[in-house]
Amino acid sequence: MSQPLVQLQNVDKRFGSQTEVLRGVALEVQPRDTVAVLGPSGSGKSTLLNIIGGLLPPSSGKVLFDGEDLQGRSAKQLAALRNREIGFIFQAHHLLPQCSALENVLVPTLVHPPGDLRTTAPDRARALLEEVGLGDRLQHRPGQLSGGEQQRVAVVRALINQPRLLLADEPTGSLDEEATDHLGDLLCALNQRHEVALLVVTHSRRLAARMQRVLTLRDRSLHEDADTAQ
Amino acid sequence: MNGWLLALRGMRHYWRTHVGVLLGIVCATTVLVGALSVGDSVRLSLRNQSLQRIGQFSSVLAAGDRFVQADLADRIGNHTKGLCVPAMMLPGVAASSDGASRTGIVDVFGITDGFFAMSTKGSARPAPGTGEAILNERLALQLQAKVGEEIVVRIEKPSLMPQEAAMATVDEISFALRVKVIDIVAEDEFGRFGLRTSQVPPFNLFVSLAWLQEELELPGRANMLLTDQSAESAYDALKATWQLADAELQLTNRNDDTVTELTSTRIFLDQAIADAAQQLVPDALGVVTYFVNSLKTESEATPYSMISAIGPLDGRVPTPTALAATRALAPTSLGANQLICNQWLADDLKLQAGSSIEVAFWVMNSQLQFEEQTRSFTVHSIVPLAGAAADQSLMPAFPGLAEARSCRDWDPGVPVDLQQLDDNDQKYWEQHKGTPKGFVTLATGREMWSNRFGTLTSVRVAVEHRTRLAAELTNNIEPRALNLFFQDLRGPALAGGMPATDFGSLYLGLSFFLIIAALLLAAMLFAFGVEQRHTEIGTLLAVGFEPPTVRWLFAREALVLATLGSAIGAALGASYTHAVLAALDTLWRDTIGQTTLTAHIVPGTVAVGASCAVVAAVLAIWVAMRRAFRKPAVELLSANAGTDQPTAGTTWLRRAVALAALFGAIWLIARAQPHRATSAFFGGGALLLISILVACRDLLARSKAGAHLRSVATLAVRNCSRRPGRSTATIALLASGTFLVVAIQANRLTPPTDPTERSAGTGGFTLFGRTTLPVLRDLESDVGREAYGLDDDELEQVAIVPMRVRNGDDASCLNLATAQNPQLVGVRPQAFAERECFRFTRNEAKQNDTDNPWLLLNKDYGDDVVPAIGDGGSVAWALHKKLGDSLTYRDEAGNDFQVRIVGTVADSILQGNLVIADHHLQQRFPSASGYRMFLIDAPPERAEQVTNDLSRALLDVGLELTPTTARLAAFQSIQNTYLVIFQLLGGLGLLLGTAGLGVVVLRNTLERRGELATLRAVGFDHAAVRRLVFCEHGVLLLLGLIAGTAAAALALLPALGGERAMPLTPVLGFIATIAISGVLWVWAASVLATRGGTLAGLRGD
Repeated sequence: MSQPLVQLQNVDKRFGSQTEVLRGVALEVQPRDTVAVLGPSGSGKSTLLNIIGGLLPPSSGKVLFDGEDLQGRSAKQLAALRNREIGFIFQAHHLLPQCSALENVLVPTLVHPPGDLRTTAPDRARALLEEVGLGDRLQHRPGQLSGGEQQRVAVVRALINQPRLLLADEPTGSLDEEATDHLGDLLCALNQRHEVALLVVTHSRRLAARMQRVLTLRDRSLHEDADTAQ
Repeated sequence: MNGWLLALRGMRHYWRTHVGVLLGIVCATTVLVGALSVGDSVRLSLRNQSLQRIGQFSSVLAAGDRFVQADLADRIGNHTKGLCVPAMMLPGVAASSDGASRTGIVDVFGITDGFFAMSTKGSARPAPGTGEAILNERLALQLQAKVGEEIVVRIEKPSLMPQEAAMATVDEISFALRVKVIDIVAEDEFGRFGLRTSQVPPFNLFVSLAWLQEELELPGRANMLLTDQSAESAYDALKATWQLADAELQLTNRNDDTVTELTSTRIFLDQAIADAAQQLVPDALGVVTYFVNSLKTESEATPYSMISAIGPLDGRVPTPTALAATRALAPTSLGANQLICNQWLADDLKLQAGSSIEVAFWVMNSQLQFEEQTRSFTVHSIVPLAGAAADQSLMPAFPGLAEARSCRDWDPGVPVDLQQLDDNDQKYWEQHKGTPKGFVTLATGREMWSNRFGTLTSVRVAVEHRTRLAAELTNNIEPRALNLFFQDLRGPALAGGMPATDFGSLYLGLSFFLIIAALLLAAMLFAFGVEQRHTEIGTLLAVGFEPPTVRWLFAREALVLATLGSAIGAALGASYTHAVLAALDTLWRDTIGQTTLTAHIVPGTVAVGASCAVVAAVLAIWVAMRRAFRKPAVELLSANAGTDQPTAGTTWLRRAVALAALFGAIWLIARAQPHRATSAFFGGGALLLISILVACRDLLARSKAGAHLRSVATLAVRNCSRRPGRSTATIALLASGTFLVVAIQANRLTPPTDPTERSAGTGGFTLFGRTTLPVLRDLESDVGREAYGLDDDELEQVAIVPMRVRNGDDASCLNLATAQNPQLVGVRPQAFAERECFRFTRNEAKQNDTDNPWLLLNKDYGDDVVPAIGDGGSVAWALHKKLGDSLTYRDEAGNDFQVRIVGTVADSILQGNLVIADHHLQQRFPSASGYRMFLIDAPPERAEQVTNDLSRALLDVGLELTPTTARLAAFQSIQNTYLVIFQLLGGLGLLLGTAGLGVVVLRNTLERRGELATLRAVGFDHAAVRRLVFCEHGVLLLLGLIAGTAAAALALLPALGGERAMPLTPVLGFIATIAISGVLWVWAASVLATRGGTLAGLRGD
């Protein structure tokens, strides 16, 4: 077995002195894995995602990305990690209303220094948007796209820097069933084609069933969910 | 895709918010650029006026009461290869031909063709002809005179003899001319011509030099030379080309052409001339002849005779033969108290050798009062009335005597009783004229009769020295020793053209509130917009943007807005400048007096102003929006982003501060000194404001959950405590602005209710007087009153303190330009000291010194230092000096000396002048004859009668009397007007601030959309929610206004009572305007913020 892409070792997370959200969480995500984390509202799923993505530090325990402890990284290094290695997909997608679909996808490339990566980004963006079926909507603003289309733009934005890990926080939370299925197909296809690991936090068993592994966040810790896993 | 494109996208999308930001920046830049341009306009207007004043002339010889030959101008011009024109400058008064309009202090200029060609405009206008005059616009307006009409001008008649010399006459010091106005010149055609720095245009009248010379009986004479050369070059040319006649000297052969006599048309020879003559001709004889009142023995008396004092200028040098006979009239053996009389006198008084004789004579003391002095002599010997002893030419051409054919025609400048003269005296006069009847030594004569105008009436030399004297005497005299020197015009004009106050900074300060309010509003709107885009910020952070990069993205938007706004504002700045200048020309006229200002927009200033506005705007926005970037991405991306939890404060510390401030206010007010009441109450008001604000903060912080909510209003008050810091900041801004703008009125100056109060700015005097022509006698003496036709009854209970004036620049706040050489006023220090008048702010008297500080004017500070006392405001703001500082002056002998500030008085009618001891002024400026400024002690109820009587008596010298309270009010109106300007501009800033309150409403409300949507969901209708929001912020508005007003009321307490109570209506009107504006903005924002559906709010859209 190769080194895990992401490793959580006995991670706790508390807010203030009273509120314990995660306790003793352990998790390994291998490259190209697809993992779903189920759990009811307020169970700490988003917190778990934010800790993995370096947006929140754990109260105790270790978070390793590619074998390296995130605790030791500076804010600048964490930002670079989120930019190059990790892609985020939010429930509310958070597209910039003032930018077109293509421009929204290119936003994460703005932090690159001028060079090949930046120069080739527009072509890559167009190709990805084409891939997700939005080739003819490149110049449309978010307000001109449907909910599902907006979410697809958000997915492409998360992929533009060729990350090794995609973190999706309730990506289908505001979609209907059909759109949920489509998004699920898309995520799985992207996982295969771009060899990107996928960690999806959701309360949709339908979506969770599409992943290789399903975990449940219950009583502040993660458990394997044999019922839903493929 | 790049950062700039992203920034531009954001700007376009959020244009609604950015419009407000842009407008705020435009407003701030307009005011900033406009204020700076006001400064440029004032500066350049004054500069232009200064240059208009002097035209193309670079230096001037202003000889005052000395008259050079007019053709000296040609000699100097030829020598320098430049231009030099002669002119005459005399003071006068003018009136319309029907007497309906009058004006004093007219500058009358006798000019030649070519004068106007040297004006800024360079017109070819010729000089007026005989009987004609050209007026400047100000004089024409004052007299309502038009071209073709006639006016009457009374001009000071130059006295060949110094006017204050005892023998100078009082009568005929002026003469009247009726002239026809042929033209009126504008300011660029020497309408502003003058030698003094002032932005107030003078009253100028131009006549033909030739005609003026004729009227004055001074053919070929001028007392002013104007040249386009530098002062140094012109002076060098003067030294090289001047002649005896230019120094008013003449050489006359006497005694059958064996003796040459050097005399002056000014009667007395300056010491410099005597010294030069002695140096050239060491064996010269000096003579001083004097008109004595009487020569008396115990039983006999001879009235009104001449006595000559004769002696060698250098006692070591033998007297030449030609002068021996004259020398013998006062031989070496003659003692100091011995007198040689002629036979006629000996017969008249029955004298013989050894007889005692008393000589009585008038001298003029420093207060222009005649003092009779006596001296006893012993008759040394008697000489026959023949030969040298019968030399009529020993008597100089005393005015009123020399031309008299008979004793009865005498009209000397001293009091004489012609009844004392008998036939014998008449016969003597007819036969011998003013032949001296007695002779004393030169030393004795100098001792008795020397004065500041000279010590000799003639110098006699052997005729063989005549040529040498004629050729070389001028080489041995420095012209400047005779007050003949060129002074630089251009340098002082340019320096004087600088405003005493930096008007750019001044109006920037006055507009401070407006600029800050506009920038704050722009910053708040921008920050509000940024906070609305919190998810955008969170997303960017989440996708790997570092916080500085995200901040820079938004900063780019701010930079673009700031640049655009500044560009528009810079263009509009000219409008603000024009608006301010228009206001200065009308409503705020008091602050600029008679100055005419024109707008000057300097590109460099506009660029600087716009750049500063960009920097200020970006900084303000940066500071305002930094809070939005402190939160982590997770929080920004959450639905609750933008809501903060209130933080607990330190209660005990707040209460301690509030109490301390309150006690501080009480302490300050309780200890306030009467003359410092204003600053004490202002400070007390400020402390009270702090106390109230801290109390408000404490009140808001203490509002706890769990208390019973009785109504929507109670809920509104509770909601204010949700963000106590923000609420207090809102209250504090409104309160501080209200306090400052209202309470500044406490500094309003008012004249004293009792002008006779000695410590008031009036000095206890009721009237202030100025004359154009000098008053040559003491008006408190019988002689003086008689000379001017004043009745003792008219002046009962009236005391007059006269002051000599040395013309100079006006250093009062009425003069915008920098005063280079402030006007000097000479007073007898005792006159002020014994009255203890005016209140000193600072002086150099030692702590244990009990003498009145006015006596510092008599203190010896060294040979070339003259102590002076000035008005504190003038010294600080017009002269930019302080206690102990000095200014350099040049006296009439051409020597530089220092005028040192040894004391300052508060808010006085002396503003604009520096007061020195009279004896200093006489010593340094002998030509400053007579008194031209008066402070009059009179019972206030008789002020009008005294004014009428004095004005009638002194009509010919152009007396203008002003109540001291009116003069003080004129000075005070300037400061008061600045207060009004500050309040107006500050008020505009506050109005803009109330718009900021609207932004606060929007911000607070949109943060809590979910909460307000919930209220709607549970049954609050639209109007109730709007009412709730309105009440919540209305409370802040109300608290802010109450706090500010209460504190301001305390600060204004001293100004609210008494006869000169400050009018309350404008203050109340201002507060009402702020309140109404605040209510309108809060209401509008409440309506705007509570639009939108309930569901949208519940969903967080």
